[in-house]
Amino acid sequence: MNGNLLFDFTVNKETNTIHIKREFAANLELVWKAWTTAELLDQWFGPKPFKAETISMDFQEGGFWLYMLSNDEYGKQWGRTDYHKIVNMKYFTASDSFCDENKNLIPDYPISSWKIDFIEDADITTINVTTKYETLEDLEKMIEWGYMDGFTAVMNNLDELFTSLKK
Amino acid sequence: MRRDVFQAIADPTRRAIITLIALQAMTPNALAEHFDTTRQAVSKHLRILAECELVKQEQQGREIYYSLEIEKMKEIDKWLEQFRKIWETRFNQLDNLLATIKTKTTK
Repeated sequence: MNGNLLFDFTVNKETNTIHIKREFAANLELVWKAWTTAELLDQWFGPKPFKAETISMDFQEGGFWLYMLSNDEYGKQWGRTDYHKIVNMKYFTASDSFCDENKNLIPDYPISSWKIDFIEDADITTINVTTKYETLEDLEKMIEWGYMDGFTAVMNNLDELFTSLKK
Repeated sequence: MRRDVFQAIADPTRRAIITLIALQAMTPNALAEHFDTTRQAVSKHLRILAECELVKQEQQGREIYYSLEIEKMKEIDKWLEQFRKIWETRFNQLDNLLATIKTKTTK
């Protein structure tokens, strides 16, 4: 079933924008809920083996989601998603960045802006995600700051594992 | 001063230079002819690319030939690939969650 669901990932290096399009086999109400409630976000947002945990959630314009991503090996990292515009069951826009445990943004750390819209068609809900960084320099900063160090190391581990299992 | 790789490739002329020297090593003169610009302008771009280690230089006779450091270019794509994988993992997890919820609610 999963094999039939669309997953599009394109990058525009000129506008520093990443576009993601993904179908989900569920109705709009449920998919919206999965993206906007702490209860459900905690269950899927942390890319395994990282686990997401909500510290606080205030899904409304001007509110924010404060969460922690943790993994036994790599420790914890806090993040916050500030919500800007919300049109219920249609789309929302937000800014996302890493922060410390007191929800203070880390100075000089890149902030990415997001727009996620939702469309339902015959029991399939498609999301269109647009994420933009202010400059390409920000993308490199994320590498330098080691945002990806933990993830990258984990992904490489997984790659190696899969490769070795295939032999 | 070490430069940002991303800043280097943000310029369209430099991107075009990269595309050319990816195929074959070229001299600044050859590049200048190609872009109908001055050798100085091209040299300036090449200097920026060299500062972030995207090009390597090789002296052949009296000329210096510039070619692309492929490995460095791959770094950017590697990061983007990691980013894509993270979202792919998240979405697969979301698929499973949605399926579980749907099973529970249809009785």
